[in-house]
Amino acid sequence: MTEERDDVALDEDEKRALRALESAERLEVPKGFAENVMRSVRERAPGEGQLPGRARVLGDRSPEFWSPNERRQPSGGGGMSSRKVLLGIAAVAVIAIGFFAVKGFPPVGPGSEGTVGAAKKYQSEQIAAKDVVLQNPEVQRVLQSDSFRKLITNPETRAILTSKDFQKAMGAAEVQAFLGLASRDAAVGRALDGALDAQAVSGLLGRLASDSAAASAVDAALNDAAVAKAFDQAASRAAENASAKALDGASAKALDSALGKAIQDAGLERLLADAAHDASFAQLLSNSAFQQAMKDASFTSLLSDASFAKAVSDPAFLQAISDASFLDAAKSGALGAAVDAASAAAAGAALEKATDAAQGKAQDEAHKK
Amino acid sequence: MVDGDPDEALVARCLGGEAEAFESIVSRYQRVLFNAAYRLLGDREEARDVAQGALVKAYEKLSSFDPRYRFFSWIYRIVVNEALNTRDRRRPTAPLLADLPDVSGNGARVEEALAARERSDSLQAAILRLRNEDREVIVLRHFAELSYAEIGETLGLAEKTVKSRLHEARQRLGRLLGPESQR
Repeated sequence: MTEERDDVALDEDEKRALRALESAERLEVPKGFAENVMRSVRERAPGEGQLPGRARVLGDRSPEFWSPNERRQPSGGGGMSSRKVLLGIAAVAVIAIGFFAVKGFPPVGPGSEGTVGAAKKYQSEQIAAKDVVLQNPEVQRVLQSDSFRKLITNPETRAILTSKDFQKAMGAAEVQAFLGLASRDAAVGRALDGALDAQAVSGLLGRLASDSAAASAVDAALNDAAVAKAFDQAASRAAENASAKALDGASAKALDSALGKAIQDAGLERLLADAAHDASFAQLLSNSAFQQAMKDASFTSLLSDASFAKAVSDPAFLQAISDASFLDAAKSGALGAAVDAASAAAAGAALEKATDAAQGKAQDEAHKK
Repeated sequence: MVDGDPDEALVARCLGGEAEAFESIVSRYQRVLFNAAYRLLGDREEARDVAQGALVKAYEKLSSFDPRYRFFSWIYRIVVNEALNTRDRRRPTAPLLADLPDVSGNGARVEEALAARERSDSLQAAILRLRNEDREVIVLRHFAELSYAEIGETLGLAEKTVKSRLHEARQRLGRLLGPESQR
């Protein structure tokens, strides 16, 4: 892999070393080496729809594994500074937004609309699956999948999807700008993707939801010289634009705990380094709606939910939930009503119907104006 | 199996659920990883365990691999860390030099093989006496055959730092070997 010369202008000691190194024997691999590795790999191979590394998420930390500088870094104690809390916000914000940004939220294009057509006014009557035929078979497949059914029929999940905080956060201009950046810039997208797939991210989200204390571990991590340097470089702009006052004590503690987990992963540092270069990211962090959403434990609980993660990994699902009409439906209450009324098998169709109804209502209102 | 696929393609296939694609990665890197681990540890059994364990870990954490970086840099870093951690956990002991290749044979070939073994013993003993930082760059340069830039990427160092560290490490290694190693 190298064509660089090592024998230029060397002293006797170095020449001697070089000769010995160049003549050193290369050992053959022990018998059965590859077979043993592949046996272990097959045992660990994830099930369908699951990526390697996602099966075991919490409690398996090997920080020395990920970053050249993280092995044997001395750590000390010390309290949390407001700057570190801000960096915590940055980390959480990037992860949460990235979860949607990288995995999807594409605009819904032609073919995803139902053939029923937009209702002219809001209709709350019972809807049957046969009423709706989607032109996009992928969306239909997802809407009728078990994972989507579980997601949409879960009261907590539905509460989140229909919450004002969620709607405001997802609809904020800053969020849209960041999503646009992620979709345009492949490097940002890849960085986000890598971080989002990392162990630490699921751990982070789970920790946020449960708010379990890990102060000593977080302190140690935050005092790690390499981590501090990375964050200083990457998040200074973001930190300057965020407001520490937006956090109460409990949230700050949760964020710090989460950050301690998240920074174990080198991918997060890279993620921040990329994200912090864009002004829209800083604007996002200072968006009050987004901050409010992130303080909601149920919101982060949703993000770390296994069913949600599975559903979100499917682009067609993202098509379904990223459409503005879906948000309208959620806001109007039609979504919840439709899901409550429909059978499990018809949940997807009900959603589509509700979406159309809400869209029609919005159009009617706009027309009246 | 497509052995000629680039690392990134193999990783993508693994992430797509094709675990068998990892076999090409194992085939591609097993020897160099094993040799690197051996030179870092001086023990064949430990080197085997470390190299195998590193590959399995790499598979487990594959979704965390950042495709902007080269895969081999990532996996070398895993091996280096695992080897150094293994060495740290080990009880202090004299370098293990008894597991070099068999040199049985006849006449001049035996003499030649014994001399080679002696040189190899001396080199390995000297490598093991180096500081971790020196040993890392020596092994990555001369046993993994990485470029300065690749070593820098693997160890998180600037290329300039790699060059100077390598220069100093080889000087120290040469002094440890002493004039007799030139025989």
